Amino acid sequence: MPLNRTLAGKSSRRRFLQGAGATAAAVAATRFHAPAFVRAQEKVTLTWVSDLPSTEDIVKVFSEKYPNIEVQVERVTFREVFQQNQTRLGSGSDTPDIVSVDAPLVASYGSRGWLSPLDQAFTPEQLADIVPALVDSGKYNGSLLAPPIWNSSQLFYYNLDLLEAAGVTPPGPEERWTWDQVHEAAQKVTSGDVFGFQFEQYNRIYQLQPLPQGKGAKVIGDDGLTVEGIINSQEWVDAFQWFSDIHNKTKVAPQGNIDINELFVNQKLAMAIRGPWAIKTFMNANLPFRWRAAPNPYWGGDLPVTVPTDSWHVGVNVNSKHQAEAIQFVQWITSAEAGTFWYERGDNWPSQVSLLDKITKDPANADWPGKAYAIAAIESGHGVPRPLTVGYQEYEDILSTAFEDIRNGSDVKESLDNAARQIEREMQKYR
Amino acid sequence: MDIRQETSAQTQASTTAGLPVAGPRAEQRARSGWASLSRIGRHVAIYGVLIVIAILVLAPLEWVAASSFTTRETVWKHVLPFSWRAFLPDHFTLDGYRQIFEAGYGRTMANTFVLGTVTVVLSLTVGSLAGFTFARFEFRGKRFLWAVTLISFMVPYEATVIPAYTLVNDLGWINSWQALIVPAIANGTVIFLFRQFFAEIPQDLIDAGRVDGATWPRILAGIVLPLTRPVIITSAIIIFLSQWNSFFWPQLVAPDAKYRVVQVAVNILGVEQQTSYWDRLFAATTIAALVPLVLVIPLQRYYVSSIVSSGIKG
Amino acid sequence: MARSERWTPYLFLLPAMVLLLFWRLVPLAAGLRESFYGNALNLTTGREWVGLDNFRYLFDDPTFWKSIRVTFLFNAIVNPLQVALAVLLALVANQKVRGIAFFRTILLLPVAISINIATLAWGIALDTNYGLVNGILEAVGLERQPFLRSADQAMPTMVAIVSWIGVPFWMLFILAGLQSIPGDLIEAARIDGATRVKAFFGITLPLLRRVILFVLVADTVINFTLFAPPYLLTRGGPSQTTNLMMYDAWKRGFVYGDLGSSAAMVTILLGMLCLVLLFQFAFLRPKH
Repeated sequence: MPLNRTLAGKSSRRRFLQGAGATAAAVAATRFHAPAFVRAQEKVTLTWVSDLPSTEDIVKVFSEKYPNIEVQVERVTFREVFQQNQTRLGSGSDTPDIVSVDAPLVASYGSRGWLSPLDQAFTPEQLADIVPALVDSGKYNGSLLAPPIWNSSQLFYYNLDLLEAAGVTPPGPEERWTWDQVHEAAQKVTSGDVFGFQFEQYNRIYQLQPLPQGKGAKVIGDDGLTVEGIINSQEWVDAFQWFSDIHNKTKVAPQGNIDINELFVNQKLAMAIRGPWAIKTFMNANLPFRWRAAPNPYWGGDLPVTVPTDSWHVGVNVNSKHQAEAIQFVQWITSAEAGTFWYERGDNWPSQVSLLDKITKDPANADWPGKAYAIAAIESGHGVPRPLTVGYQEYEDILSTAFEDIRNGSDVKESLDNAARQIEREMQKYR
Repeated sequence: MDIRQETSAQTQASTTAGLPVAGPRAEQRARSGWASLSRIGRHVAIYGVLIVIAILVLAPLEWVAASSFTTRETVWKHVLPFSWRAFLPDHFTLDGYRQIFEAGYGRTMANTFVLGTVTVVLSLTVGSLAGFTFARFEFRGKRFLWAVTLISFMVPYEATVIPAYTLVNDLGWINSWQALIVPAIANGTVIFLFRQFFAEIPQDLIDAGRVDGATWPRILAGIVLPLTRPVIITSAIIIFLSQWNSFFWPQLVAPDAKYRVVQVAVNILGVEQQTSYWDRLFAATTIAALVPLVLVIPLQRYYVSSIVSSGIKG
Repeated sequence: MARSERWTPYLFLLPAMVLLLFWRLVPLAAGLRESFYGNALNLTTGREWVGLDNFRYLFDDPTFWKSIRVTFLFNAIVNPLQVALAVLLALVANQKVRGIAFFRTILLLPVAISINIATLAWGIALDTNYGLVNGILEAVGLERQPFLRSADQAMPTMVAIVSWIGVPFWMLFILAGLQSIPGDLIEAARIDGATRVKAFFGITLPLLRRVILFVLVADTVINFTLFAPPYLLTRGGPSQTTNLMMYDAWKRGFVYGDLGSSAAMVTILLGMLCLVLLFQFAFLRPKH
């Protein structure tokens, strides 16, 4: 490097060579905390493991603004994101630089020391624009590790034609049905190969947690580990007895592996809980029937209204060799600018307060089908993120099998007891 | 010379297949009318069993293939309620195929072909050298090294996947071609097949070469290898199929779409996406199943005889 | 020349041995070693020696014991069943009737197709809602069956799916064994008045003993470490009835991030497999 310095400035060709030399030196030096200004000159390539739609496009938008940073997307499937994170970050690998973190896994990744703290990178003003519950999900031990890039909300969709044909008066756009009303209506609609109702994610805690939460129950202990006496409490058993009944007793909800979109679009399913991402799908599909959306059902009376929320967050690999650039990227990808890009593509639901506000007030959303966006934005206000626990993978996986068993007709109490015992066991290692 | 024997037994079986029952016993029994009646009965029974088994084997494959040529809306039309038309495309279309190829299935197939071919070449080189050495050399530690080979090919592959993955990760080979190729090169079955084969080559042939002053590599390349067509074909099929059919390893070590191979693509269409794009899934499945069949059926003579001889002797 | 030739065999073996060592034996040893470590993925604490903790942890876990039971039950059914069916199928395929060569070619189809594809295709065919099999059942007036979604039917269904590939594959070996038995032997017995059944049990089966043992051992190795069907179809359910050990080990390692108990589980699995194989050799080896 000193040699390069002495040669500097003689000619443009020399200058070029010097630049190349400096780059090489900087690459070598980054291992030893090269100062940021040296690296600002060079072209840095960051890697990002992601399964999200339009990821390749949004990183191009970023590179137009920050020409010295290129982001290479390793496109994998949903299941593989977790597998890749686990094994690569766990072994201390320096890639991927950008880590996709499912909201409830922030704690798990944080406890294993996989992510760089980002508290310095975000000003209070920047954080103020992010939905507060999601900022909390992005923290572990009080330190911000992974801010949200996406968000989610849920809606109660129905096929207006099917409901009317069955003599059911559907809920209005502000009317919140109870789960029992849903069940009752579903029984009227179900006939032949037409089913009444189903959740899109019929075996995941994400979409099912309003059932017990709506009865005032918790989904995990305050220590983030205890589940015994919580997920097998009377509230849970009652809530999932309803879930069991719609599958096994009245059979208004289809069993087995099913594709809710396929069923709904083909008029084989009258009502469904789905995210706002369905709106664009429906609009593009030119459906031969009228569909509407309503607020999420609840258990009625004074009981609480909770709506699933949260989605993907991003963090910086603690062993990444390009900390500064990776942080720059995270700052941008979590901004309202990036959120708008994705929202306009119809891919995601934004995590920025300003954007949600805009959606609610957008005159284009005053009538159907845009109205569904406005309802989803209002429902976001009832959002309760998934449980914050270091053992989320275990928690979710074991509960999923329990939900499947319940769908297949296993005894509710027994299934939940079993799940509680198994989760408690797996949580032992974090105590 | 087991390989040859098996082959000739097979050819014999197929040439005599045209005659009803061979051998002196048949003639003996044919004299009595009762016997010929029971012979007919036996044939009816045999054909009955053959047809049932053939249906069990063919029906699901035929159904998948037929479903790949229809639209996603009509895939289930004749399944529930069932009619025999489920085994014919309802509205013939190549739409499923068009869609998967637009989504990069061609690239995926090319990936898998290249991967299979490269692995075959490397694996045959390494395997034939090792097999030849075990068959034709006496050297210190031979029994030990042979035992190592046997153990390493008896250890179930699944049991070593996780640590092997860690090794790939430590080497920084995640998302790379070498992660898919290198671990598959040394194949115990292939070494075994080559050893069996070389052990049966007459010593005279090799001695003649030695007398002429040829070096070992020359003997191997000039005299021995030209004789090995059957074992090379078998080994090549085994390795190519194992690469074409592998899904867990590639999904683990090279999940990036750039390195996607056929089985992973099918798995993604079928399981990960909970997709309603049945036409795509069936089209991808049909291709993934067809390629091995196209390879194995014309070469079944080699495939069956060698794979079996490794079992009979092992 | 002689001196350089002393090294020739080692040189020829070098690539194969290095690769086998690196990709088969080192991972095997690394897996055994991992069984005694914990916190492998935690960068804060780092990997630490935990002695037999992983094993204790497993022995204390009802899921683990259930998984062992399921694995043994599955193998106790699938291996004898596949061998028996393979022998029967070989007897059929060995009949010298018109068109038998074509039939043998048909039997090769499942052999060439990957377990991944076969599992997926059967998974769809057996689906509760769309399945072809349920369509046929309804068409002949029977009730729809839940198959993989029922705790009672999932395991037998999985046995059937695996056997669709396994039986024709192992049949190849037994058929070759049958064809290597001199026809005269059976002729002689038949002329002596032995019935077909007697000739089969008295002569054919004893002569097939060696190849049957091979098939049984190889089949056991494959089915003890079976992974794809639970991974693709059932995720170990319903009610853990298809939670085979290899799948459970994968889940512990890759989903729960607990590499130590995952490795311990594989170690136990391999240990059990060795015992079962020894048992098979001891009882089934030809006497001379």
